[in-house]
Amino acid sequence: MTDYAFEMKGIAKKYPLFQLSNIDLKLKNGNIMGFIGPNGAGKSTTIRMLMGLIQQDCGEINVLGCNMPNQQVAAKWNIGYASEDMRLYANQTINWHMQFIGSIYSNWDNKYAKKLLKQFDLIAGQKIKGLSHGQRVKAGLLMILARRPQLLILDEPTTGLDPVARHEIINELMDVLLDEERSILFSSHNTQDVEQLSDQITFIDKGQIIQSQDKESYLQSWRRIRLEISADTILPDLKGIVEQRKSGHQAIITTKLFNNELAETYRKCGATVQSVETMTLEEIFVSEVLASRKNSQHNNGATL
Amino acid sequence: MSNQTTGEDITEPKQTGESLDTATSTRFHYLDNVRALAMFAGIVFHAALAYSPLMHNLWFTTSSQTSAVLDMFSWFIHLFRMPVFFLISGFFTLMLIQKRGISGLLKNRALRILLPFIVFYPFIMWSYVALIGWGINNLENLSPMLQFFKMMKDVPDTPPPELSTTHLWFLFNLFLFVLTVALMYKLKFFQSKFVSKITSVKFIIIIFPLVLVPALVTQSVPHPAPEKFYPQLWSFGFYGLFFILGSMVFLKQNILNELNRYKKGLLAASIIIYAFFYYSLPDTISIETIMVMMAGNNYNLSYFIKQIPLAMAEAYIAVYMTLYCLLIGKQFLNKHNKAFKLISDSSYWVYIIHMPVLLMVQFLMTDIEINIWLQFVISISVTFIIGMSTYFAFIRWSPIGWLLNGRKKKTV
Amino acid sequence: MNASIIKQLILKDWYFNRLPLLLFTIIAVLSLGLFSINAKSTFYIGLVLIISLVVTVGALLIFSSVVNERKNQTLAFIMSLPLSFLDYTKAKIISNLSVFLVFWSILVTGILLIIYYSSHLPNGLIPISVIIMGELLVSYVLVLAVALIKESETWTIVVMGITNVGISLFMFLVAGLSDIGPYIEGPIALWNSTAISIVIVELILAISLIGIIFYLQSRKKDYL
Repeated sequence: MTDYAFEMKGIAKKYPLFQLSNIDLKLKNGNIMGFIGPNGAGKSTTIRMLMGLIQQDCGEINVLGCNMPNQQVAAKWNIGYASEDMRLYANQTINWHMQFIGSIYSNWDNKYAKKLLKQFDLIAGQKIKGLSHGQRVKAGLLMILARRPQLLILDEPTTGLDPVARHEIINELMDVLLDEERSILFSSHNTQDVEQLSDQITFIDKGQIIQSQDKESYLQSWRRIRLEISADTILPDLKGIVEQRKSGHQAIITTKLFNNELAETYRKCGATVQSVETMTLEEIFVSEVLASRKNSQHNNGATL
Repeated sequence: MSNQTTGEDITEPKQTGESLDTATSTRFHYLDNVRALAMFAGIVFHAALAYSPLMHNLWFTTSSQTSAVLDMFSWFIHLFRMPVFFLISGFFTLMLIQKRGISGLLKNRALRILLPFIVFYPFIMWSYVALIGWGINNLENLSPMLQFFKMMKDVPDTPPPELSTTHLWFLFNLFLFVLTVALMYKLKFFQSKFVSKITSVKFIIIIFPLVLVPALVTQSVPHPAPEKFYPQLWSFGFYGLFFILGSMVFLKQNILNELNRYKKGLLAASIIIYAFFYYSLPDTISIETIMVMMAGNNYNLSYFIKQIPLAMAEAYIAVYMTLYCLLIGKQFLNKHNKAFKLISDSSYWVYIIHMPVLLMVQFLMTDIEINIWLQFVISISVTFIIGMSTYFAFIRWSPIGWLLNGRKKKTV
Repeated sequence: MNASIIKQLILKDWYFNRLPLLLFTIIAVLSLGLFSINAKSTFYIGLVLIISLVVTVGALLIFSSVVNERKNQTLAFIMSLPLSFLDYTKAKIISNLSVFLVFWSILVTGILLIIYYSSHLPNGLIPISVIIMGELLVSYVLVLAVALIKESETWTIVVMGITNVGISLFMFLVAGLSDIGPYIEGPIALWNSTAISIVIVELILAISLIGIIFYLQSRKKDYL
């Protein structure tokens, strides 16, 4: 068995109007990866390739030791997959679905399912079409959690939920996952959801992975520095600077390679450091995406 | 002041603009226009019967000349012109129920449909008798049907022919359908989940035509008009179902948008199946065949095997062409101006009187040698001109006009 | 082969359709009753009902278990289960065909028994009945193939419309064949080479359509 829950190497997939390229991604066993990207960035396509539902044009995908898509049947025994565009049967009850899943998976834990039912505040006899969106998401999660899969793949499970329902689902997921040894891939275009749950962050934009890193060190390396400068101050072009904005006597520097010497460097140039601020994941995400788009435009321009 | 320029909410029905089905709102002008065209198509169809080889033995005014091209064209129209009419009527019936309630509907329909039927039926019936009597006595070249009548007249103790509602059968049937739909509404049929579920593209295209086949299979081909003076079951199973479908479409108007993408296919399928249909029709139908068929249980198996596909073909063409007419009407005829308004207002009157006028015109041409196409064009145009001029002279601003189209304010 | 999951999927489809199928079976038995009565109108209506029922049940099965699975996005749920797309195809074909064939066989057997035992219907009707029912089977498999392969509601409706119209055209054509039409009223079921060939061609078509489904499904790379 490998150390990784999944590994994607050199993946590309071309569509008429969109393409994924150079996807290299791996998740260590037991880790939770937040997979963030704007709408249409390629999150769902990447995830479907992980599930074997879409075949990559090139590259290798290995999930739980199985080669995808050829060995998807073996892999899917141990994957719990839920996605935003997945629906349960509207005319059937939650109970019917529990029995259906139970009849397929030998590791279905009925006791645990009933516990989750209570915890999620669901009624077994209720038909799916009578549930709210939040309840449907919970019912869907119940179907996969109650068989304790090794790998959970959740594709935008919180999309379309109101803030309260989203909060509830994140909290409940955290509760449920607290005492489990399980790898999770969790995609969202909402950084807040991911920030709470994950210990690894991956950003995707326009079909390319732009960052994939451990969350804590990642957050640690990003800072926004506010400087007071005089008219003749020349700020050095340092490595890791993502953005540098000046207006009058103010300058705002965004860096992704922060260290304690950085402030000292600016002081030496004649600037006064007003503040060094930590950034939220959302702010970092937006900066990353903008920088990456600028970069690719620049590269495209150079090749023309 | 013209009612078009009153500045009132144009989506509200105008009391003044009520036609055969009253309370037309601006959004449904195409339905008014398509229905008027369906009525005028009736004149074309009836005029063409005189030159139909198929109906040579069965129609009053058959000419010695026949045209296969005209025949092919007119039987095609026959298969969907009244379905179009009844579907649109069903649509407006449900609209009227929702606006005025069931008693309002019945009162209005009694006035617009039942009363005109009672008022005009005697005149129409009398004019048929008079015209046919005149024809038998005065024409040289009698059609086989008139020869048959003449023969029967000379035989003593012939039972009088069964009373027919003539071409006014559509009013008689329409009123029965209105009563049926009112009852169904009262029983909450239209409010049921079942109805909303089956008002779907797949039901209308795939299943609905099949539902019509049992009614059609019991009738001769091409199907006759339900012109008996009592409710005829097959009429309910064919025209009645179009009427109900119209009511269902009113409740789920988006269905027409969903059907739009199938428009060309509906036309293509209709034409292909009509080619087979027309090809399979006999060259002509004799009076004896009809009598044998009417006699009942004596079924002929080699006929049966054709009867079912023919009835299916009729059902598919009726449904598909009706939908096509609505969709094409929605695309091109959703207009409201004086000309369209005049056409749709006058169509009711013109249709009521067209048959006697048409018979008269065609009788008058029977003994004259005129080119068949010229005859056809003359019979339609003269009928239309007489219909329109009498409409302007006696109907539009008279109590008869109020009866047929609702009370009209004089436009300035 | 993933037999246990395929079995569960088939059971699921049967379970979902149990009530309408029960209802349609009852109507089918009533139609056979009408068909057996010695009167012109009931004979026609019974036969028309039988044809309509076969079409309706076919449409119901294909829409509820194939088209709606994609439209209602339950396909993603099914494909998250440990099965391959070919397993899914197998399950759909077996569940659809099994239900349809049971229903179809009841009607075919009923029709043949009624023709055989009733005095007012000549046995000459037997070949043409088998041929027409065979055509309904081929039409059904064709629509099933289109629904599975094209995965589109519009396509399924269009092809279903075409096959329905095709039923009447087919009946025109078969009745017009000089080797078939004239023998309908004969006292014996005449299985001449034309009649046998048509039935064989129908069988071959149905089977090859199923082959084509598997071939084209196995070439698909993306299932969602």
